[in-house]
Amino acid sequence: MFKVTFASLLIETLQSLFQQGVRVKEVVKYLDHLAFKSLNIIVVCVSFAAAVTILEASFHMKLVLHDDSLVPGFASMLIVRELAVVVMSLLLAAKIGAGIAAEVGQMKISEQIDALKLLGINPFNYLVLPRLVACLIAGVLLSLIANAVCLLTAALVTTWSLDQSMAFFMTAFRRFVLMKDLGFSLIKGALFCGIIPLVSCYYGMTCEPGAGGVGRATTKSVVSSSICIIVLDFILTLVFSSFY
Amino acid sequence: MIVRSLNGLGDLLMYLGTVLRSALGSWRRREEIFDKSLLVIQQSLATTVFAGFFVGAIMTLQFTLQVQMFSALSYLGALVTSATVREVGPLLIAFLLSGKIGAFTSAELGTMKVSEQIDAIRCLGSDPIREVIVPRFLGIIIASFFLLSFGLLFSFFGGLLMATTFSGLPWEQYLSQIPRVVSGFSILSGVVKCFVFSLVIATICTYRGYTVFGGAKEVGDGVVQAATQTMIALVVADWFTTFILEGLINV
Amino acid sequence: MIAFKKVTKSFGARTILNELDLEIPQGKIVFILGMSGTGKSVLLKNIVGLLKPDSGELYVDRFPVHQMSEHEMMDVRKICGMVFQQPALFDNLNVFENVAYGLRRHFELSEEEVSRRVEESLGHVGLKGIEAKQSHELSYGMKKRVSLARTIALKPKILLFDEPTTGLDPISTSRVNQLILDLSNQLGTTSLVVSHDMESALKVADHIVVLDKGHLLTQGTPAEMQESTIPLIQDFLAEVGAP
Repeated sequence: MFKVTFASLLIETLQSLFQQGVRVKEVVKYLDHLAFKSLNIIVVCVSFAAAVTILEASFHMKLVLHDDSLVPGFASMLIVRELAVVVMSLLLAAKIGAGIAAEVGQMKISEQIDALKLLGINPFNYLVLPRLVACLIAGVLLSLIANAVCLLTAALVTTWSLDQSMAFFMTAFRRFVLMKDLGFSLIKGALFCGIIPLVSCYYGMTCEPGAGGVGRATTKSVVSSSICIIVLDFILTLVFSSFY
Repeated sequence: MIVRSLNGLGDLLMYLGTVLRSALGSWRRREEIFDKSLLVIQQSLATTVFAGFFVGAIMTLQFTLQVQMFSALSYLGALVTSATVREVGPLLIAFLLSGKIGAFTSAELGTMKVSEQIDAIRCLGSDPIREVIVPRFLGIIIASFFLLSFGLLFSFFGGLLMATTFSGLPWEQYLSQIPRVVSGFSILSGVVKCFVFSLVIATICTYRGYTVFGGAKEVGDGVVQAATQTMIALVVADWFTTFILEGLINV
Repeated sequence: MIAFKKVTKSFGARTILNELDLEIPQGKIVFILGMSGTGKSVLLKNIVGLLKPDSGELYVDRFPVHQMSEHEMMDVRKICGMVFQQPALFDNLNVFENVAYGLRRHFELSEEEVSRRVEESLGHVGLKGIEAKQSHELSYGMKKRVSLARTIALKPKILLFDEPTTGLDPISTSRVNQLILDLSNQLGTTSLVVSHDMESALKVADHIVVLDKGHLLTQGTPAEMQESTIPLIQDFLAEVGAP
């Protein structure tokens, strides 16, 4: 038996990074497993979210300014600064967060984690670290994709429903969205995704036995990762706002 | 893949039909339904309030930066409240609820399924849809509707708090423009969305749990599927509802 | 009497029961033996309609089970009690309500009659006086016996057991075996026991059926089984250390 707290998990994982390094092969495997397999649902979800954003933004612009020519600028700003990354991360929190918690929890209750320790393998280095590194990388890559898809859909919906040209959208996008917006967006993406494996591995490693235990561990990890993401989003937005 | 998803959607709709038919005669089970919804509310209230508050706060932060560009800070309250009530609030809070309720329910039902309790109900002369699914289904709808509305209320407070502290906008000014922009129709569309989202969460989560097959590993997989599929369904439903409501307002 | 006529059941590409022909005589204790994954549980679940055969005919006491709807199956489930592999007790109900569950739904009985039948069935499994306990307060062996009491409370003509002794200690195992014998003697129940426990089968069964890969491999009395030269059966016998 071994006990894990969230702090000890974080410390041991980072320690093992410096002591034993990270196995690149595992990272690549999880990158494929976690990031690539989530790509299709992210594309679907951020596209729909973008479509709604345009509809909503035009509603508000018409109401307040009686004119929807500013919709592309405002919407693309909201998408890059906030929407794309948050929707993506919450999706990942459910998909890979629950997946990791279920997998690690399953290993815990079938005593595989104890077996690892007996074989002299550091479970933090073996289980947590590759997932953490993979998620950090995936966070950056997927944020890029999510932003691109989200903007593209927004542009398409704008031309379709607001009778504005694609070129007009692009001009507005360049005028409103700064390079640092994109940079902040990628940082957010990496950190949001990084928190997911830490939280999920923690709940997986503290899983109680039985089918009910695995279920509870997955539930807790989805909810806690989502909450962490929202709180982190608040903090980061507050910090980044001082750069404008 | 498309054929498979359409097949899955067909099964889901048939399941929803069965549940709704069984739900018709469930008035006499109202106490059990009430108990279930109370349980869900107890378990998720803190999460929802917390999430709602932060969503409101984040929206205020973002909008402050945007409206400052046009020195239209006085519109802040109106825009944040309107955007949160109509769109961002219901969606993000429903995302969290789908994680919480969805995972919890599909895990509970999945466990009943793999420990053969559902089969035992059938063998002992009862209908598991009526006995087990319907009370949870209706309970979740009632509870999530309540939770979503409550979360929205708190997102308003979150927005208000950030406006006074971060944006330096006195609360009277924050509130003053709200009645001009936030119409009854906006609130109604927020409420309609809350209802649609409750239905989505209740349907997918009970369905996923009910159709689990196997052991502990499958219960875990079912939970993952429930949470992700609910989220996808939520964004699609969100777009669809907005589209319909938009169409109604233009008529 | 239960009769399988060319029953086939598949899950995706995996065929579990392959044109199975089998007759279970009335009033006897029949053990169905086989390796894990040879479709023993699937066979039981087909009898009570938890699963439907893909093709073939299946009769339970003259009911044509293969063509009956879920609603019509309730009549079959009244006479066919199933004891699940897992205890499958309802977590949210106490022992009394668990045992009374089927009585309340299958029959219209007075409250006194229900309590009398619950007490009687708990007596059969040697667990009187635990009516008020919650299911999580019981040990695994007790849960399995409560689950058995829940099934026999309906006084079924046919009892189906899905691995009744798996996961039990030797003492509980022999108690369950004794119970199967007693029920058969006292109530004249037909018992169909799915198991891979050859030792119990030799002690309890009137008739043993061996399944392999969805087919009937062989059948006969325990004495005939012990004479068998089929390798799989000899492996089973070697496990028990039978002569």
